[in-house]
Amino acid sequence: MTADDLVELLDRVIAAGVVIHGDVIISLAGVDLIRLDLRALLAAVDTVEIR
Amino acid sequence: MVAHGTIALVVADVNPADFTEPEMLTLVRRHHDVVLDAFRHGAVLPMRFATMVTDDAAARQLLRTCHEEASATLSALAGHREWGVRIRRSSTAPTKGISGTDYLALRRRQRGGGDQVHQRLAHHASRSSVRQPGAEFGLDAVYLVPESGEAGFLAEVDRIDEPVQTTGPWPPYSFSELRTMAP
Repeated sequence: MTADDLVELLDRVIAAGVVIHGDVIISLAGVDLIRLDLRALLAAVDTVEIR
Repeated sequence: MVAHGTIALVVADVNPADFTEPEMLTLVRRHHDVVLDAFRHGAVLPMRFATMVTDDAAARQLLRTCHEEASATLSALAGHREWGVRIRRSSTAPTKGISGTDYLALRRRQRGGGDQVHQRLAHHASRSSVRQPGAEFGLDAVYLVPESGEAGFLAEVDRIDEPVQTTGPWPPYSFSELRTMAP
């Protein structure tokens, strides 16, 4: 998997898909955490071994 | 799997504390692998990464609430795959030393070219979405293409007269939404 492929994957898994709100959902300290971690993931692309 | 009526939710026990960097990347891949696995067997409606419910009862509650819309959406998505198409703006075009008017005309031409390509590609798709209008790309769009129309869609991609980056096929991540429980 190339860095471009990984970005495409993150674009979909983290930034797309069904977003659900409601009492049944556990919030992960809000969406901001996810966005923050996405930036960390993108920054880590160079250092993580890519399959 | 937690089932209700004709739909089911694929679930796994997770520890919210695991959703930290660097384990996140592994979890993202695992999420995608599960979506792909389900997608090989039929229509899927991928959840956003890290969607967590409290327990199986909560999962069933979610399914009960969304059942009608989720069933209809799954039917609409059946037999479709997602493709992404990106055309980068030409970097060889001279942007130094040209007048503002010429620059704007160049941008309009690039943008217009992207729009025309998009129209032609969208013709082969059931749904489409332009992701970043007017950004660094002449075109950055996703298409929900029926499998029966993929050959025509990809032939249209081949006809694009510019360096193009295609990605896919994907499960319909970019076309998955449920208004019933939306924020």
